[in-house]
Amino acid sequence: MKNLLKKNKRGNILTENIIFIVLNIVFITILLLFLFSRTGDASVLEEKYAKQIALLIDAAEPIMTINLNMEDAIKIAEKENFPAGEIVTRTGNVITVKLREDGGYSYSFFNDVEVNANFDTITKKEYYFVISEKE
Amino acid sequence: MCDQNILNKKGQIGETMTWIVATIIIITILGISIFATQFIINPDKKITFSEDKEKNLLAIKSITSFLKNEKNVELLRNKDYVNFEKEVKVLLETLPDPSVGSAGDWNFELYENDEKKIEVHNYRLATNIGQYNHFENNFLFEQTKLRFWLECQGICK
Amino acid sequence: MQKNKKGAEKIISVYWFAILFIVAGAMVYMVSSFYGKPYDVREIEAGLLTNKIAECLSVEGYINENWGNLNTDNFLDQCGLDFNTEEIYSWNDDQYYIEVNISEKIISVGNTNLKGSCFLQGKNAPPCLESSLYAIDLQDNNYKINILSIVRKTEKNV
Repeated sequence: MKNLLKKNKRGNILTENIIFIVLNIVFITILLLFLFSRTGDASVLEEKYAKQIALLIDAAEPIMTINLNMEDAIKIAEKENFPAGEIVTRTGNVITVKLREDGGYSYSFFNDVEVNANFDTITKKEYYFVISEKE
Repeated sequence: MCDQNILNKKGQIGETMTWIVATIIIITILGISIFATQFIINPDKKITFSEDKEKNLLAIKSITSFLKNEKNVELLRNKDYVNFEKEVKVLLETLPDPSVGSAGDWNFELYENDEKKIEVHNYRLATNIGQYNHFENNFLFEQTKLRFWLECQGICK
Repeated sequence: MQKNKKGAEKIISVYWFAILFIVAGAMVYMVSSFYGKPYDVREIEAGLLTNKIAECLSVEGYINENWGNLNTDNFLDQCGLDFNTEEIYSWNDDQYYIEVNISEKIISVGNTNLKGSCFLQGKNAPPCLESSLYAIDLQDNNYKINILSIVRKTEKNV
């Protein structure tokens, strides 16, 4: 009788506790993954850099070259297998920053200048923008 | 047996009370965090502003123009500080004020051989606490020092 | 006695997960609320626009000698501005408005409807930046140049 009682206590408590702890760990892990993915999200960086570059161009005058460190964005693009040389593109007076195939954020600038956006293949951490007069 | 039952109930009540207090604390902390996110951090955090660049450019252009005006230079040369002060007051009215929500205005002082000759104070803070002297532009004309500055309550923006 | 303990533990487990869900839900809400909002750069953009106009009208302390020939049609071209925007949210190149007043001569370019929104309050109202500039001409005549710059782009900044 005493042995039976001891066996029942051991089996019940251990299984329930393990399930409880595992569920907690899984839940907290999922939560942390979600939080970290939102804070380092590609879309946040796309918006940030598109606006930053557009404002830099607005403040610039020909003839100027502006170097911008985009290391964090380039790392994300590499993870997403997106070519670093195509992260920043310009169409007319609209700057588009893309870090993944189905992403992208555009922002226009009002400065009527010619802008060439180039990926720095030496440092591989920067983009440089050459501002010149429109022909 | 009866005593043991009573003991068991006391333990459960104790645990329940602990959870009630914990729940109240958790909900209070969550409430404060959500309030902070919504009303303190959110409205201002993502509004960006540049502290000095745009306003300083207009101020410097204006002051440069003012000091290029031969009439004003002549007043300085002749030490006609009364009329020079009148012209400065007109200039200060054109200089850009801080943004809406940020109190402040432009001030001017003129020193001749370190002696103050002109003082135009449109906005001076009573104490130095919270003061942030920004956009200070100093010019030297022979032995005369001209000091233009924007004084604001808090940060000039 | 064992039955009481089991029942109490199960209720507490459920309650524990309920609290976890509430806390997690609050954290998700706060993070989404903050990171879901865009950066609002309209005020900076309006300031840069004002600067660009000031650079066009006042050069090395002297007013642009061609200021008399400036008008609504040629202002953008003469001052190196382009108000075209991206084709999104039914924007039709109507996200900017500028008004320049030089000695009672008023030049306005862009979406005139935005001028009325200067009286609006709140985050959705586009920032209206009013600045003034002192300039002289070669004959030492004074000019007070008033510049009003408005940048809308609400959908991308609020």
